[in-house]
Amino acid sequence: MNAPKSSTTLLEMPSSGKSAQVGLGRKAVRSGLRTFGLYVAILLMAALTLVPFLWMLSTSLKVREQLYAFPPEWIPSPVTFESYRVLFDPLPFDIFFLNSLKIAFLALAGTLLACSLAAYAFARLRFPGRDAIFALLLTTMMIPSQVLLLPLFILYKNIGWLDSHYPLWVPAFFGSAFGTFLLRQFFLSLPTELTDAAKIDGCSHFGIYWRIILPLSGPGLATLGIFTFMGSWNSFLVPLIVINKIDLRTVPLGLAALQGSNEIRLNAVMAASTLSILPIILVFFFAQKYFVQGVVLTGIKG
Amino acid sequence: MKFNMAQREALTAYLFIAPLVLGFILWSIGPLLASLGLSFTDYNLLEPPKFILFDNYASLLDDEVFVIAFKNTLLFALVTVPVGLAVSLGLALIMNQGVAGTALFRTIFFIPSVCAVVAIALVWQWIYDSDLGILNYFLSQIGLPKFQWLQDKRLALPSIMVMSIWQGAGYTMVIYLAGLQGVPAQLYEAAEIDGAGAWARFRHVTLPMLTPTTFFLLVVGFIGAFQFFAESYMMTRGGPSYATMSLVYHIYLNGFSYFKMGFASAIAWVLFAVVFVLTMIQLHFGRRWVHYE
Repeated sequence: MNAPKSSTTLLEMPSSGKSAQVGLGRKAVRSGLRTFGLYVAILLMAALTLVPFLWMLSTSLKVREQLYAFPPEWIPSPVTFESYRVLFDPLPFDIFFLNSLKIAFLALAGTLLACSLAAYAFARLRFPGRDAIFALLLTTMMIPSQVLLLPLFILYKNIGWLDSHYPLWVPAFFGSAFGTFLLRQFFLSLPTELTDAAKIDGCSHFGIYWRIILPLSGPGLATLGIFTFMGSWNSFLVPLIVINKIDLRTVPLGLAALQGSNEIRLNAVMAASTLSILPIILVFFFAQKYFVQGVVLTGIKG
Repeated sequence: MKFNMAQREALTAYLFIAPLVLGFILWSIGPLLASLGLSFTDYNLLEPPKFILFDNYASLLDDEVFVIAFKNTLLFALVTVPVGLAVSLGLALIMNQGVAGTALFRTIFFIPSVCAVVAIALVWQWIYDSDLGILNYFLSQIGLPKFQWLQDKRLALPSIMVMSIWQGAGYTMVIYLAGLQGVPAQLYEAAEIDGAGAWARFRHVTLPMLTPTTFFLLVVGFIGAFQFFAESYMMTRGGPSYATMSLVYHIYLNGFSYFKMGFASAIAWVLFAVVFVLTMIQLHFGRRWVHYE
């Protein structure tokens, strides 16, 4: 994964042909070589990125005898979905999926609601202490969440939330600094004419938020929604600490449990991994635009 | 009581931010202060907490595993963040050359960063497997010996670092790519007229124009890298002989396996202090090298 060897040629920006003394033929050869080098570098990087996933998929489709073949065999023969079936015998992965989905959608709803309300206030309303409160909230992004884990565990224990899903989605209904920041950036970019007109017509602040700002904010909400869904779906440490009962586990906990078990073979482990990343990759493919937009919006202005 | 318009607006605003502020108290600042308080006690969840002042912090220094975990975490951050940035910048520069299929390649490079560390770790465990893994197989093809990637004390942490850089590269690349596209073309033209070669243009135009992006990525990257845990938990259980033990792993073990809540809180506060100080240092020195238009 090192920088490409031919980096000096790769750094060249498309130029408008200043060096006229170089013959046209030599120039064409040089630019052809440069394009060739670029493609070799990109394809190599793409292969490095994809090989682990292809290996995961191929292993999940293998029969038992082929699993431990050495040298490793890339193409499963015969192709079998057996491992996807046996996966559900020792561990109720269907329940893990339902749990993860339920938690992710609740977290999504809560985050969108709480963050959009607060972001609207920070972007469009005037009130004493607005900028100070906003700045204070942003500093929480600096706190590693693990620092908060121990008191929260004690709190959850005392209010009977251990071995329940509450710790995994209730906090979402109180929003997050990241989400509020992202939506505030988005709301600030919306034109003010519409909201001004609505204000003159006597529309309430909630009315403006609900009937004008939200309908215009599809892309912003989609971006935050995807980040939230992904964060919840992949979350590991908090579920690991608060959940013990098998029926309450989420997908990452199920994966972690597979690893220690001797009865489960490699093809089943890879089948579970494949299934676990499938929803995320699907969401990513369909909403890629919003994803990249969100990365850029929070990344550049951050 | 009647409110005027400004008062009504402020009242609405406070109502709108109420959940967020309540969440800030309940899930951020409250637990943060509570964990500071806990760190001065001896508490095992069963008996009431005993106030022991700085004993937990004092015993941290005698705790060999803590010292190792601290060094590992620091090393992990100091290696994965800069190397990750360099790799991603390299990728972004290649992607910025306007080759066909940029969108497809961007998608491919982005995939690892949307996947759970747990799932990624399961696959890389088999890549690194000393007997059946594909990495050792490739090495044997070019005549190299087999390595015990995750069982060798010297190799385990670097192996996890490589996986982590691999997983994060695409995400950082997308941010760099956006940064590159924001560099005005006139700057390159002007540099070229002045006779600047490819390297000089990269060194004196691209890099300075990217400093705000690099700065943001460094700050966020360090905060993230200090939290590494799932990688070690899944692949090595912190071993062999604590070679991959991290601060968060140490918090997890002490807090949730040994139920030493006070001691674990002390580790957590050291983690917070280190991240806070590092962030402040970066923000302070950032002014000197970050170039804003």
